[in-house]
Amino acid sequence: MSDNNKPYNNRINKITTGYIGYVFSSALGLFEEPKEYGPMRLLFAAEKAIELFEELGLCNELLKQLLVTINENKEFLLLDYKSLEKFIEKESIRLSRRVKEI
Amino acid sequence: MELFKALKTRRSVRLYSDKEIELSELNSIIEAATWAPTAGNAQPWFFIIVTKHQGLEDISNFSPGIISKPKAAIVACIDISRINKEDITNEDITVSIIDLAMACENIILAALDYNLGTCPVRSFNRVAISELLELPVNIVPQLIITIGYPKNQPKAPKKLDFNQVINYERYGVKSCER
Repeated sequence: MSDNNKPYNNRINKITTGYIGYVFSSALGLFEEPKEYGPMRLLFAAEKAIELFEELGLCNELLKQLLVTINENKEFLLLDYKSLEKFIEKESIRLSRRVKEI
Repeated sequence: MELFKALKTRRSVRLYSDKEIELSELNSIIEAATWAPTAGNAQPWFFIIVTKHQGLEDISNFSPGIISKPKAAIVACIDISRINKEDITNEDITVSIIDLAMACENIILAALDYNLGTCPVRSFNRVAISELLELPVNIVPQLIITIGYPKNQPKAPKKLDFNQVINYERYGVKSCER
């Protein structure tokens, strides 16, 4: 590993390890939190994953748009469980169509 | 801001602008916390203010309850060493947490005076946060308060009707005769 790449590699190590920390922390919290928190935690874990992909240059247009959509609707989705379910279902269909095309 | 207006307009703010917060304002907000009531004047609280980008990113990675990017986070802890007893019981810990909660409410209200929004977060990985902040064993994190300039003003949540939460003189008496 050349010294020139070290800051970048450190950054990759940091954000990838931090992301797994987030997922583990979500899992740990769910032992005590209401089970209804589960879908929301997974949605925000997906959001963080997309941010990670973006920083690593691995993000396609669909995922970039999904990130914007999650951000725009975040506060509302926190408060309305039924809307959260519909949102996740709708985006799942979009994602599966994209996967089919690739 | 006038007190009752502050109480009624306070919201849990989760989306913040990029505007930086002055350290002097954060210090002033913590000073407000230290004026909260405390049993036996124990003052069993300890606060860590995190403002640097990397520190906030690290904390957010281990706090699923933080859903956006605040400009600062106040990690509110109890300091068990301030409980002035040899055999510390669960009740002692509970009382310390109650004291800390009152101090945190002061933080939340004082922030409004600087047009800052806050959100108290209990969903965080306590052992991981203790590790990240290098907390000694007597300093136990209980709440993280995210803080920043709000991107918007969230709507008021539905509150229970006043009559559902109050009785007079004893339970079951719904009206007050004076």
